Amino acid sequence: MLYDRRVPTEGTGLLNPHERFTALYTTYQARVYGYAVSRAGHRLAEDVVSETFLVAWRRLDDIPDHAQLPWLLRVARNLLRDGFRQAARRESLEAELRTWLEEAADAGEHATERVTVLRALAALSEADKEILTLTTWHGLSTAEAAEVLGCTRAAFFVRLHRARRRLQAAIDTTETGTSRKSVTVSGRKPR
Amino acid sequence: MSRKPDAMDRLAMARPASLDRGSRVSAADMLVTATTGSAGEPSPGPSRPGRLRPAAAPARSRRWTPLWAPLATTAIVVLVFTLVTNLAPAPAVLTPPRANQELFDLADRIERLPAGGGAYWREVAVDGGHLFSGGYTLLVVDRRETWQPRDPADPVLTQRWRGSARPATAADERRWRAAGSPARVKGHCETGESCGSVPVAAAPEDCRYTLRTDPAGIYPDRTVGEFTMADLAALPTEPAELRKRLRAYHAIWYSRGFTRSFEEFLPSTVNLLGMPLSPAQRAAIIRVLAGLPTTKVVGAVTDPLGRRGISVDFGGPEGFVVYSEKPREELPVRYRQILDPETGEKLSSVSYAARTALGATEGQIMAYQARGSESGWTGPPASPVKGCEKGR
Repeated sequence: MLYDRRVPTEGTGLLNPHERFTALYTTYQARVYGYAVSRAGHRLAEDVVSETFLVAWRRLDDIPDHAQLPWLLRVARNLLRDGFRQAARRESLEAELRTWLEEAADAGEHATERVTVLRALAALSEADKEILTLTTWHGLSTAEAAEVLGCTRAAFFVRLHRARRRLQAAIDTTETGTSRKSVTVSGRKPR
Repeated sequence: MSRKPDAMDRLAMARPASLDRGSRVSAADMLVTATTGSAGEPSPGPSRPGRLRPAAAPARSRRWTPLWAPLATTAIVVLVFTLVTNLAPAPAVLTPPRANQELFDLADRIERLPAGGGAYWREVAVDGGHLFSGGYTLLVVDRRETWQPRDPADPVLTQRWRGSARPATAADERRWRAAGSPARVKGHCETGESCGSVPVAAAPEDCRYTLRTDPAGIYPDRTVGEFTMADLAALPTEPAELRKRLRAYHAIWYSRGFTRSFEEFLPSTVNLLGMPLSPAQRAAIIRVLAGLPTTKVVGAVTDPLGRRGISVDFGGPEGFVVYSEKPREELPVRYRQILDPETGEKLSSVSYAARTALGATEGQIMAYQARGSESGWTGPPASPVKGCEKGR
């Protein structure tokens, strides 16, 4: 039997590329979107999702069945790392962080706690933010997070440990009120 | 006594709700974008994720195999005798024809055609391919349609019809009937496992539509660049200026990690000929394409939807293969773009078997992506066809 893989067979139960892609998108677009929001703000998140899944379509056969989400997030990560509209991204992310703080402040219960943590997070480097949120916000296992970052699990644990320490320090700093300036969103550490 | 939450616990509790919103783009819309934006099919081969690959030449496929010998540049000199107005004996004029003269002629013919207009650009895509199974050949076709508004405040309409199969020829129909006229035919699963089947029907059916506004207003075919309708309207009509503008779009691609050179990128601009442009803009694109060293006019052909067109090979060392998984076999195909000789618009992209093998005959159409004749400027309202159900 000769099969042209461009032949559409959608809706037939065949796992043709269209259906595989649709399943992939339906399953993971929200997760990729969440990651994109945390890295680039919601203004650019749609673009990141779109670019990521365009790559996914082109590389459908390369996506490992057992690690589809890490693969997608790695694509999104590389897109962002490769200079994806840097200036716009910085602005978008800063706006996003401000929105998070405003929303956290209006959250009622635990509002202060959430604002404190988000202020502390905002003061960390991009790399620390990413490591910390991959497991806490995006629900990845350590193995998956290591896959996204392209490092070993051991290396991931080391980096996570260091990032966690810096987050704790930033929280302490914020809580003791030694830094009451407006939140730093450029990724620099608090003084 | 409960454990005091550590920094990670506290961070988890501070997770913003906005992370859960998800994309507003439906899977169907994304698929439309992907299939138009990446020329129709996934690409093969192991690769590290995340590094964008070069902008695809129009509708290339899984595997690239060298098919094309370098173009022979045989200069044919033609003596053209002209008469001056006083009917005096004319001097002989040596006029070497330009390569791809047919394309330059086409550009000359169309550039002064009246530009169309309308609130919407309707793009009808009909994709087809052949499936060989059970001693007969089936043509599997699907259809999708996009109404892209000139004003991004207006909604974008997309409609998709489920693919269906029908016997490719009268002889195939006889064999299909002899096999008991099965309502569904067995397809082939890429994994080689037992799979489902394709319904046999005269035309694609089971339509689903979406109707929603897209404030960004990016035209769905992104193979050349991310154009708004205004961007497209602003493309120059002078070839040198157009090249300059295209170089800027190439630079955007390049900055995103694409490694294809500007010269390698240019053939993909043939896809602009299926976008909402004026005849003068199309003429400029055709002139740019005609001047590329890799461009070769193949000749007049009939496209898969039965329309006369000019077949063009935009060259390059690449062809693509059709394959079967069990056993794994591959068939090189020739790839052609077919242009409308009256308007310069792209009619279809077609792949032909490059040799007789695996049940295919050399020159046979293996797959195509055709633009329906209904494509073009139209007016509102953008509304789905009767019976089309709302999709997600």
